[in-house]
Amino acid sequence: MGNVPIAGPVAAVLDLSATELLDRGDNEDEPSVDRALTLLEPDDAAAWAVRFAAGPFSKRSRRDRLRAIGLLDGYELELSPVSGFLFEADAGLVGQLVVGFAEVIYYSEWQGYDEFTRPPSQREHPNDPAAVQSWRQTGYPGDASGYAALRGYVDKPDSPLGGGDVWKDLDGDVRIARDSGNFRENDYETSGYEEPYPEGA
Amino acid sequence: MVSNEYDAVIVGAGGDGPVAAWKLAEAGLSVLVLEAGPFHGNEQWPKPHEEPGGEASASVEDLSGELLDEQFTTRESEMVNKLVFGPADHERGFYVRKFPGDGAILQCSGVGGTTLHYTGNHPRAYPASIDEQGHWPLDYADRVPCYREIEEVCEVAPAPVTAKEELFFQGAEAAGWDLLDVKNVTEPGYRPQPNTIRQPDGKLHVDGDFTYPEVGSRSQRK
Ligand SMILES: Cc1cc2nc3c(=O)[nH]c(=O)nc-3n(C[C@H](O)[C@H](O)[C@H](O)COP(=O)(O)OP(=O)(O)OC[C@H]3O[C@@H](n4cnc5c(N)ncnc54)[C@H](O)[C@@H]3O)c2cc1C
Repeated sequence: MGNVPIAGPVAAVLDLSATELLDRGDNEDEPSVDRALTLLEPDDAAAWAVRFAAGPFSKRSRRDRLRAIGLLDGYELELSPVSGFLFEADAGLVGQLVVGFAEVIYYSEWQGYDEFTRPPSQREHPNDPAAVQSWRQTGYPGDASGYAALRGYVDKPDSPLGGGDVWKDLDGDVRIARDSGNFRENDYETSGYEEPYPEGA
Repeated sequence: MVSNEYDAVIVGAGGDGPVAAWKLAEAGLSVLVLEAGPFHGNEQWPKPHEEPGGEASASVEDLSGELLDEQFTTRESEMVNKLVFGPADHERGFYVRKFPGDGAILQCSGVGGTTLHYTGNHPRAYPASIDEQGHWPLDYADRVPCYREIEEVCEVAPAPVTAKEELFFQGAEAAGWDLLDVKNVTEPGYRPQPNTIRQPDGKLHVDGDFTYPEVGSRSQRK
């Protein structure tokens, strides 16, 4: 495993889908380069450079971007990478990668290994927050057995869900209680149920 | 240790296989479970991703918490690698799967199967999805005793609230949904997950914004 640069290909696929959306006339909003500019932070590239480089996807409205990603479900991909195993998917995978890769790779500990290519039992991970770009950016101090994040248990007056002191009131009469209660067993009556997807329909 | 004949052979030690094995063995049958992926935390397989190790394990004596902590870490990308859907020896690649339509199947290989990274959510089915759909050979009422048994074994309880859930509950309430506190769900609404992950120690309680307050020993830090 190594560094596989996928930002370029993914951007290209997203741009394709955004172009297709416009070709089909399925966009709801007019494209605008201003949308790409609003994403800029003070230290990012200069506005003129972004205006020049912004692709079709970045110019779509948020809803149209989602619609463009939806179009990808219709593209069949068939790839046989070097290893010889068959990989079949449709381009809908790209949309999922855009979400999933950031989570499971970019925000993971991956960059922090001393030597990633060794067998798992010989890899050293010093857990140095400064060694992982996403950890630096988010102030994540590195992985631990756990971080204290417990607020309590959601509860309502007369509900068995929570117990003990009320720690915090939320909206309405919903609150967070200090201790846990439990769900209650209840009768169920289903005859009023309407099947949203009837069989054979 | 492995015999030539069994009353039942179960392929895959994931979420469901071992439960079937348990019930069949309880009924007095001899059972063999076959698992192609790694068995973490078992002394028969000290380096499950690098060396073949033992052939079979049939004793709790083989289980080692120390080995499990070493092999099964909180490092996400490492675990994605170790649990990938394929043989424990990753040089041999993934299992080929073909499925219609769109989607990514996040299936795990190993003893524990996909429960190795599931989130411990244990809801019962919606009663209407059983009783109002004609294709089921049993009623919801037939399932309730099974739910009760597994909820007790797995200590299913309401999931705790962290900053994220707090925001979700606030939003759901503001949007006009009702908080449900029942096991059998027949009305729309929101509720905490009935979850099987053991509830956190009260000492982990925090007031105020999330900051990363440390917990106990930082055993993974150097
Ligand atoms: C991210 C995620 C979160 C989830 N969260 C929840 C949750 O909170 N609550 C919930 O109820 N469900 C959850 N699920 C779903 C749940 O984990 C699965 O439905 C469940 O584990 C499936 O059980 P299984 O036994 O059918 O298959 P699996 O658990 O996938 O087990 C199959 C096993 O068979 C082995 N195997 C395959 N082929 C062979 C072969 N030829 N020979 C030997 N062994 C083989 C595999 O290595 C694997 O270990 C989640 C799933 C995912 C992906």
